[in-house]
Amino acid sequence: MSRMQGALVAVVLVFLGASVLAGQQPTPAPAAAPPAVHLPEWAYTPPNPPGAPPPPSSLPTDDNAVVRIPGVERTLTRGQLRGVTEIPDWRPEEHTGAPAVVRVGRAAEGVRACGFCHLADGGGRPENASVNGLPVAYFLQQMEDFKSGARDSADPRKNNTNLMITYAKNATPAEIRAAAEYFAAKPYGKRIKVVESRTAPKVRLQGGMHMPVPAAEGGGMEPIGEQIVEVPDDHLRAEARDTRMGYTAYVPVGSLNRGKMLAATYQCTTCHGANLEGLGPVPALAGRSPSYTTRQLYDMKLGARKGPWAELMTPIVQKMSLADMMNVSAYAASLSPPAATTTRAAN
Amino acid sequence: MSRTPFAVVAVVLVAIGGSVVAQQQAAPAPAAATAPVLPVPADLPEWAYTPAVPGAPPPPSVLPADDTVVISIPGPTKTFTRGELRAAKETMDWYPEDRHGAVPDIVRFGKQGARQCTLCHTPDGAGRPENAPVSAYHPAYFMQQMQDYRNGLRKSADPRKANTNAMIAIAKATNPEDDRAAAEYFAQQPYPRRMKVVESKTAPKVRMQGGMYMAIPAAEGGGMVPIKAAEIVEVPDSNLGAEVRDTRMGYTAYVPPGTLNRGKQVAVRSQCATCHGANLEGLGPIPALAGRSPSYTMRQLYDIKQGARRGPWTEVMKPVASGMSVQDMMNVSAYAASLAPPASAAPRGTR
Repeated sequence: MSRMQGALVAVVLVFLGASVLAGQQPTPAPAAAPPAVHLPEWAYTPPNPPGAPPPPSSLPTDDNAVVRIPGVERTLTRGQLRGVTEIPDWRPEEHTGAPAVVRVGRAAEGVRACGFCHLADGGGRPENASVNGLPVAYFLQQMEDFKSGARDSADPRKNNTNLMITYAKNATPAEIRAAAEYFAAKPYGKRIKVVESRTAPKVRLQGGMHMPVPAAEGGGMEPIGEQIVEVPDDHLRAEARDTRMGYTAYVPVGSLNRGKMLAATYQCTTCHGANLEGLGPVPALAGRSPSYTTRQLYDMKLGARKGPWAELMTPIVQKMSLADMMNVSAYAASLSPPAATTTRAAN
Repeated sequence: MSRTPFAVVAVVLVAIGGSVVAQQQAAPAPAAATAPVLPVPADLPEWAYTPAVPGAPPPPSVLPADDTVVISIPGPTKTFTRGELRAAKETMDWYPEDRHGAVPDIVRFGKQGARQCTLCHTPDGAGRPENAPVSAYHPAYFMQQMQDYRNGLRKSADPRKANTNAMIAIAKATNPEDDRAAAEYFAQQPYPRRMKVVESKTAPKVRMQGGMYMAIPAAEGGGMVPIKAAEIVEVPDSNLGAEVRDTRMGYTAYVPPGTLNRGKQVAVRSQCATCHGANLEGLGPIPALAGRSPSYTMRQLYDIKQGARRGPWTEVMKPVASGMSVQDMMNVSAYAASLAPPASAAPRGTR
């Protein structure tokens, strides 16, 4: 993200975030200071400093305004997209059987509907976890870890991790299991395109993720630097939480080959499966958000994520540089999960 | 099993084995009534599974038959009667000063339907070759195993293995609080350095006694015999010590020459260290292999390959075990057993 735009966007995020959460979160977490360590900001997308105006949204401001997305007959209002009472869902026929905790949550008791941030199909967004196709055992362990303090973000400003910790504490075991089983059964396909490139779109932080700055607002391509630029393929559909929208990750030239060699060096396939498609309760990496994967590696290296099964990763991440993490995350994201990867072990 | 009696015993074994299997199929035991009796795999490594010889007269015990007789062993000043050592109510411990933390009731006394853990797994959790060495296991691993027994995801490839069947019944009788108490107790017990692995062209003649192989005493026709190519002969260093559950007693595993080097190669090729730790000393919730019973490790690899053991985390081992021959498993089990466990195994994490 360019520094200047960063400054501009800051307030928006804070403002938007606050307004969306105001209804559900009686006690917003106090603004945390940035950590003393270096963080790959492209992966953590920290909030901009307070005071910056929000970037213009593709959505109308009026909550009664009707919103349409290409290829879908159904319409939702701007208000519905805020997901206050129920998550916005453009394709409910694909998400039958979503349990109440996924679809509506218990906002009054501090449990946000999972499907709001992670989307109705669990596909998630770069700033959070893709939970579709996750093994039930892994999902349950993560909730335990959030609850026990074993899973945190290396960046205390990462508000959605802080929220997740709250939800994990407030949700009942039955709700957690219902969500785990629902998401485990959701197909996990490829929705990201990884492109090696010397340039990448100028981005700004919008709704928690990096989005390309439109040409009319000073956007365009700029030298990529040593980072991954992961952006949604469509502003409107990203803002409207369309589960079928794709993402593109721009990565420095040579990343994929370096990532492949690193994956071999670190024997990722031993536990994550021959094509990094997941194995038993070990999560898939193929086709997943590289921003997410890098954050996990870095969180584990810094000890912010230290649940029991994360201990297996400790000796590996200790040896990895930040560049290694970026390359291997890009490589994993570039792989396709098997076409028929759907339900994982349910235990 | 020694050569000379082997020839003699062979016919008996086949005959009796046959009749027992036939009986089970015709009129299954009540406990097995719901589950189909699985056939014994053709290449089952019997040295690891130590199947009981049905109908065979029990070998002479080192211990007296009279329950009032007082037993002492070299070292400790305390004594137990023969009756106390049967541990009908609680497990006798020759060295309670070696334990870390209070022994939970479930571990020491058991409960209705669940024998106390320490009767079979011994007070330090190190167990015996016929069962699991549960000391220093991560509680998460321990808890998962109990779940797997309960859910039918952990069985023995040998349906005759009575103690696995007993463990399944025990897991169904305990509750999560019992499991956690036991898990946290055993997690704190260091695994002892008690295993000596010896490459040798010969190994002691053995016989089945109390669930494990023991060396036949010289006075009863024991001695050394040539070792088989694909066999480990794992025996306690003292028959008395084994029978009275002396937790400071050592074991010796005799393996054919060249086994350890081959096992090391299998370990490298199979990338065991990635999950089991650089020295196979365990990593996070993944169990240690270093210095543990090679018969036990062998059984687990074989059970996983056969699909008898298939809990969620076992799926990670499935491709590895599937790529191993029985010979590979034997080599790698011997190699892992030959490594020293950490000198003072620190208590493992509790979650």
